[in-house]
Amino acid sequence: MDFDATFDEHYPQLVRYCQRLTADGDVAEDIAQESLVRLFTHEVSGSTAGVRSWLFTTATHLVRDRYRVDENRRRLLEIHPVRPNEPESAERSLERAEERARARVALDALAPRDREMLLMRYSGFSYKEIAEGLGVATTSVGTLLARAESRFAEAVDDAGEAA
Amino acid sequence: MNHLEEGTMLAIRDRELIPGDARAHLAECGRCRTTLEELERRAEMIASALCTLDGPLVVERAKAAVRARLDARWDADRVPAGRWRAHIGRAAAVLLLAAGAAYALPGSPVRAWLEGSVEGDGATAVGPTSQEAVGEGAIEVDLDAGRIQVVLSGLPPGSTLDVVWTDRATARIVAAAGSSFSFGEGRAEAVVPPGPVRVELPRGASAVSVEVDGRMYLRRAADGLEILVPAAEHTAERIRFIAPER
Repeated sequence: MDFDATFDEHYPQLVRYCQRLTADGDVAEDIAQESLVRLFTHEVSGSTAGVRSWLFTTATHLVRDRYRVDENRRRLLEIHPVRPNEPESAERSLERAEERARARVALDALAPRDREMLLMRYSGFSYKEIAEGLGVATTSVGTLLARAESRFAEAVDDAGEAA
Repeated sequence: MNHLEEGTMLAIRDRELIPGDARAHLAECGRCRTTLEELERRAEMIASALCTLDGPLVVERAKAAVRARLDARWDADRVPAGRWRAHIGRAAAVLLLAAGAAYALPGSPVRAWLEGSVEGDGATAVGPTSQEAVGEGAIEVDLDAGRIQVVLSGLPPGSTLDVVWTDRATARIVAAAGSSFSFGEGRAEAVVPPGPVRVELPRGASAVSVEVDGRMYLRRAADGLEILVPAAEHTAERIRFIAPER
C-alpha cells in the first residue's frame, strides 16, 4: 500500500469526521493519525472503499473509547475550533461561532450511534457501509438515519431559540 | 393510499437501492414528493451545520506525524507480512472474553459490557466476534495471534498498574467494575474506571506491549524488554507502575 497515496486519499475526510465527532481539533488529529498508523501496522489491504470503511470504523471505536466518560463530553462542549485562514468581520465571526455552537449542542444531544450514523452519512458513506461500520442491518439505516436527522434538526432549532 | 415511510424516503433522497413500487408511488403522490423535497432541504441544512464544525486541515504535518509514529512502532518485532496475514483469519476465533467478578481485585466485581472489533481478511474491520465467558476477570487473547498488544484507556494518574508474567498461554486484563473491553487480532483494549488494573502477560509470548492512554509503558520483543515509563517495582514476576500525570 502506497503511504502517500493512501494518506492523501483518506486523511482529509477522516480528520473532518473526527473533528465533527469530537469537537476537539487536537484529539481529532490524534485519532485520525492513530487510525492510519493502525492501517499500516496491521497491513490492511482491500478496495479503496474497504480501506476507507476500515479507517472510519477504527476511528469511531477510538473516539468511543476516548470519550466514554461523560465529563469528557461535557468538556468538549466548551471547545469550538477556530478557522485561522479565514479573515472575516467580527460580526461574521460571531455568527459563525453561534452556528458552530448550535451544531455542536445539537450533535451532542444525539445518542452516540445516531451521532456516528449521521456523521458517516454526511461523510459520504452508503447505507451498506454505515450498516457494516455500526453493526446494524442495512435495511434499518434509512429509518435510523431519518430519526437521527430529525433529532439533529430539532436540536439545532431548539439551540437557536434558546440563544 | 399508504404513503412512503420516512426511512424509504431518505433512501430515495440518498440514492440508495429501493423497491420499484416505492418509486412508482412517488411518481403519483404529491404529498410524498413534498416530503422528499423537505428531506432534501433538511439534508442541506444538516450538511451546512456540520461544516461549521470543521477545523483547519494541516495535511503535511499530519503525514509527518504518522510517519514518525510508524517508525517508532514495532520496528524491531514486525511480523513478516505473509505470516501475519496467515494469522489474521484465525485470530478472531481464539479470542475469548470474560466478564464476572474480578477475582484478582478483592471486592471489585467486574460487570463488563463487551464489544469487539475484529479484522476479517484484512479488508474491513467490523462487528463483534465470538465472545465466551471463561471464568473471572476480563479479557483474554490467545498467543496464536502472533503478538499481543494491550491498550488501556482512562487510567487516572496515581492508579496502580501491575504487569505480571505468567505461564498461561493467554494474556488477561483485570480491572474494576465498569470497565469495558474490546478486542482485535492479537490486541485487547480496556477502558477502565478508577482503580487498580492487573495485566497478565504470557512469559512465552514473542512480542508484547502495554500502552496506557496513548503512552507506551513497556514492550518486549526479540531484542528484550523495554520499560518506557518508570516502574515503582520491578521483579522477575511483576512490574508495578503508578500511572503518571498526563
